[in-house]
Amino acid sequence: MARINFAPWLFLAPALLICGFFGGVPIVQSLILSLHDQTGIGAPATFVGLQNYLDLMQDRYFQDAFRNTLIWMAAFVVGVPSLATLLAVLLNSNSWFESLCKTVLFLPIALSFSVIGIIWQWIYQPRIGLLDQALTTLGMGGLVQAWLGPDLGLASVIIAAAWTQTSFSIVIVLAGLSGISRELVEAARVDGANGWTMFWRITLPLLRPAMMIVVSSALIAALQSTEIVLTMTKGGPFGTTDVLGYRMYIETFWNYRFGYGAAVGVIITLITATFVLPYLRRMISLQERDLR
Amino acid sequence: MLKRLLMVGTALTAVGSSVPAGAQDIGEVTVFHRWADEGSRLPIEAMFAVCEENLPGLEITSSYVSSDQYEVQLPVQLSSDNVPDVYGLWPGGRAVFQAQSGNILDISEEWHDTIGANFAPGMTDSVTETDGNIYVVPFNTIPNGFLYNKKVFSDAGVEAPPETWEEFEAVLAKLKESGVTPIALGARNGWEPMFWFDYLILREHGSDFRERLMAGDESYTSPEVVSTMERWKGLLEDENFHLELSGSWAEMTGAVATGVTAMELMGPWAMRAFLQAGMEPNVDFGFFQFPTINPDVALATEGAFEGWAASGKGSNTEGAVRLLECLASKEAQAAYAQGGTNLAANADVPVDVYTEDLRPILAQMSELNEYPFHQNMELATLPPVIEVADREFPRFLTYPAEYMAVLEALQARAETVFGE
Amino acid sequence: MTALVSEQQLGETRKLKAGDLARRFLRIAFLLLATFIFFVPILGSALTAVRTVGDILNNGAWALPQPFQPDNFLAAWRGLWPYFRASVIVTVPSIVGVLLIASMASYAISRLRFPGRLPIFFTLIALSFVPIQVQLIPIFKLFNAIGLFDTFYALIIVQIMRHVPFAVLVMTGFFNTVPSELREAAKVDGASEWTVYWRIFLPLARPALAALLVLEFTWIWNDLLWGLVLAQSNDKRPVTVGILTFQGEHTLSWPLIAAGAVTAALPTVLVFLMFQKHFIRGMTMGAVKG
Repeated sequence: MARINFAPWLFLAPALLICGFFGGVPIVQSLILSLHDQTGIGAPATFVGLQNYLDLMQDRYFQDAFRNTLIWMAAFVVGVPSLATLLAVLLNSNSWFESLCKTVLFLPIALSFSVIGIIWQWIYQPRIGLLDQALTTLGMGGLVQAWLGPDLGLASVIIAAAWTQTSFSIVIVLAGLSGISRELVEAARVDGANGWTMFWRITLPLLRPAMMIVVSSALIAALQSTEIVLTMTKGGPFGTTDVLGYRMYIETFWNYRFGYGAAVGVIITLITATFVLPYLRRMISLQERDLR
Repeated sequence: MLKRLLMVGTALTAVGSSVPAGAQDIGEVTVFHRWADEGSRLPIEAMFAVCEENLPGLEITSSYVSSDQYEVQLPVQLSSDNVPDVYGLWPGGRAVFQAQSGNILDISEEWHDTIGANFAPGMTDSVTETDGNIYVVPFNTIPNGFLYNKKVFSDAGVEAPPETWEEFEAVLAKLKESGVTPIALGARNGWEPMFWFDYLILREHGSDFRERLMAGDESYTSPEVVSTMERWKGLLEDENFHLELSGSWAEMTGAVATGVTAMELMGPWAMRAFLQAGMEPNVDFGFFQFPTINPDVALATEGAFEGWAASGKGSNTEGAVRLLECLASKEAQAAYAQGGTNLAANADVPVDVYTEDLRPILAQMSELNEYPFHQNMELATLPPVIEVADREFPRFLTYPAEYMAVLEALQARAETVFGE
Repeated sequence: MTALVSEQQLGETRKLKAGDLARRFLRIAFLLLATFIFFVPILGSALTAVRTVGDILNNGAWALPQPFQPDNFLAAWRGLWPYFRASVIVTVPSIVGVLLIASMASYAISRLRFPGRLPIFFTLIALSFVPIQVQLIPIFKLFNAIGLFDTFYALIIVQIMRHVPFAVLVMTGFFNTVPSELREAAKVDGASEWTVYWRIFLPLARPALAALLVLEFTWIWNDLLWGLVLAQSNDKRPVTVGILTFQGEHTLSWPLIAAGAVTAALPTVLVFLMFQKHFIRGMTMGAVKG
């Protein structure tokens, strides 16, 4: 009696095949690898059970990286969406001035992470770096700091990463803003809503889907940041800018502890899932509710 | 086209000159290396060109990425179905590391038969690994020593570069008196502070102790190492170092060039930056070797040498070994060193191939090669130990009093890596 | 009543004029400052790109070029163009693949009803959260085993795999906003599901596709890790790897790297400028819609 409708599955087949196979299988393999000790990609692996995870709990370098990653996530989740929303709201107009600003604000996304790391390292360079030179030229030489030193290093690296993340987020929020109908805004104004109430009551709720993208990509970017740390600080000085992504990179490609590195990767995946999935699920169900 | 003709030509003469049959056609040898920037790559390619000309039928297909990327690609390529026949590597811990995963060919036999004859007798010691095998054929030596700003020295009233530790300390005192922080030290790449650790250990306790330490046979918490760290701590606490933890050799060389500080412990490549800043060798900047500390300890040189290894897993291992033999030759290494700042490892390459403006200083540096040559710590010991050193030395530079914690961390890692 | 309100409203607008002007000024000043701060790193790179190493060593990073050295761009281009070729060969088919595969999947998720629809949607999106580092080595092994290591196919497949989920998120949102009457009318006329998708939904989705094209282009073009792990020969490595080859361990090449960075970013900026107009509209009507 039930005739299976093949159409949806045909439409879904390419995505499911590629994402399921090439995306799903490696996760399982990583999970398995994380239960082994392996000293080379093709080398024989010894099963060690949960030992890698137990060792991670004792690993001071891992703990440092874990803490730094949490700080990074917090900074990104609070800082990036607010800054991006502020700038996008101010930019939400189509005159030549705003268009020019938008184009300039897009530029950071056009660069790859390793290049961004290199550029910002030039900015923070001691003495001859852009920042130190700008401060000295402006007569504020007293403000010169060891930007990539143990005290400020993490903040400096996060700012460099936030530069491009904010740029991406502005684009998304702008798109969200231009989707809010003028009539709705006018109607609210007629009802006597002032700027702030308008923003909190009308704009922000309507930006929800845009915010979903902005917040979840900020979290993911914070959790997975590796290249920028590699090019800027290599996690130093003494681990003050180390992060989980870089830990995995070092354990795998420097120490040749492939199983241990995979365990770090599995933990990154778990944290991502813990933070992002519930949020996403809520957002998707809201979207579905709106549809009905 | 010309290259092909030349190759055919050499092939023909080779047949004429009684080369055993079958040896003529070496065929394609794939090479993977990390000297990607033009300044480093062109000398490498000059070396290849010599071998393609001298070895009948040899065709080198090379592929390269920059050093950070090389760390990622090397393990990947070595476990692919298309393993490069020859790859760039350092003798020392990295070679042992690759040997542990079975990705490197033991060439001890070829070294003793043919390759070794190209080098000074001491080189065999330098390339023999802790496991007793030889894996890497070196093509250059990069000795470290003090590069200094002559004007800053003379302004402080320093006449001649120091030779002993007492003279060195006197120089430091004079420089500080003249208002200059004497020594530039960065830590961005991790290896900069290791040069100091290496030389202090070598000068205080000698070559054998250092070798055992790097091989995991001495403890980082031993009294010898502790006394070295005490000396280094003293230097730090007396404010002799202009420290910039996020600075690399480049920034620090800039600091010496502009007279912010007076000297740095660095390799010959840094002199390029002096030249680029418009300074003249032996007029504006000079070189001296690390002063003696204990007169009873024989002098030794620390630095780096880079080389080639055969994977033994590629499709043309025989060709790879032939290529290694050629890469060790005087002709190939002279082509490499032509006009450059890195010294050829081959003992017969004359000084007059190096870049003319730096020749006097390079001649001075090449004298250091007469002493036992040690790979710097970053290349001498196993990578997992280096990870700790990369990370902990900057901590020591910031908090010199906490050196014991640094040594304990190093020792703990060394024990897990070397066993016991 | 209505008339009263609007009169009152009019009066208020007039009174607010002076305050508005001050506000407007503040807004523009703030925007100028923020935009400038965002622009400084780019400006610094552009400046570095036309200077010499000696000049930077002697005069620091923030001085006017002396001498002015535009040749750096020529040198950068000469070094980069083989990598450009590889980047184009990977990026273009990947984007076409991502847009096609994702829009098909999104059409099914948004318009068709079938068991497991939401779980599949959710799983697809969740796959985009898997850290790239977790996939690197297993995927290398996989491609090595099936003989696709060091081919453009491997890179294209991986880019599609990494980027379809985000595109599905955006496209599903977009298709949700298309009135369902359109599809129903076409079905009554006897159109097949494929015709509805290809003839009606896809053309309608042009702005969203343009927006996705820009974002996916920036991401795929700027990828580094996959190009490192899946390519073995020089001619298969992307431009991101190419720029880094300028960086020698023992050589100073700030100007060349800066020139390379600017050169490699040009295609992305061009694509953005070309699609800028659609861009904002596309995202608007799509996922981002309230």
